[in-house]
Amino acid sequence: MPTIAPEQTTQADAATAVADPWVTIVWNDPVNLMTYVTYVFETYFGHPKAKAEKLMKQVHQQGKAVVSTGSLESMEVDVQAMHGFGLWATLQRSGQ
Amino acid sequence: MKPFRRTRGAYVARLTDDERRVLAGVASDVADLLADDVDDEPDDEPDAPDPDDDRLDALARELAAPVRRPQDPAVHRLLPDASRDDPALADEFRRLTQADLRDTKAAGLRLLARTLTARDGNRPSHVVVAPADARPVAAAMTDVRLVLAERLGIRTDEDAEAIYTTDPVTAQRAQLVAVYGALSWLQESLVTMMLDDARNGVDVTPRGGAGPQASG
Repeated sequence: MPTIAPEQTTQADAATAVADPWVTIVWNDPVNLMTYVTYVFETYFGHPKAKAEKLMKQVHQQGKAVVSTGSLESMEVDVQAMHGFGLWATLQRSGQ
Repeated sequence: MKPFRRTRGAYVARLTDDERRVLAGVASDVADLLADDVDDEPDDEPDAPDPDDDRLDALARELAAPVRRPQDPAVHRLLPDASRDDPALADEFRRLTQADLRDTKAAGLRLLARTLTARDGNRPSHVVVAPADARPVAAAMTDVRLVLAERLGIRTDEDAEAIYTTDPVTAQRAQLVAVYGALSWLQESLVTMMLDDARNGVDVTPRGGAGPQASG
């Protein structure tokens, strides 16, 4: 099995970081219903049922989940949409 | 109060006159709160006009000016910071989006209030949510619940459970708890059907005339 040289790994990481440098995070809150959060994840992001429910449970049990990745501009669109739904969302650089 | 169910291509709940009046009043109050607290005008008075500036420069300066964070914590919960650790990024996001979000939320809250007070002459207890309105109505229910939760001091999942078992102490708090509970219950029944319809490929936010199929 070929091993990947460290330089190549670093380059691959850098390429990923350039492609998707920002993330949208949804935080747990005591108000939003689990059904509603799942509805938002399925209908806004187009996630299949299993992925939407997994993300919803991650928010509920672990306190937060990354729900989308992309450019700063596209994350601003997603965060604005989440705030429109009443979910508590923030954006930050990927990997922070 | 009877939960939402599908009736003739819409989502229909049944409420008494008192329930309608109280819930619609709270939705209108939250819309007013949003209008009163949020100031999208720039923080600072504009500088004295410079005769060399043209109007586009003045407009550009106004658009670039910071937008104030909401002062009321309940309103701040509706228009939260978009970054936890980067105030400049949060300010920039607020400058770009706050006016739009505020207007969208106020319109949704007014829609919720109208929906709660609208009367079907033949079925006076029915509260009818058209499929195209379901998403903004559900979002407005969330906004009202977020504001009530802030006023009730609900900070954790445990707090949210405890409001129903703790002595409310005052009549006003008892009323807030009752409204919060009723809205939570109504929203759960509405969103359960919206999610069901979305999974079954029924377009709950139709652009044309195709509404969800009535199922019973």
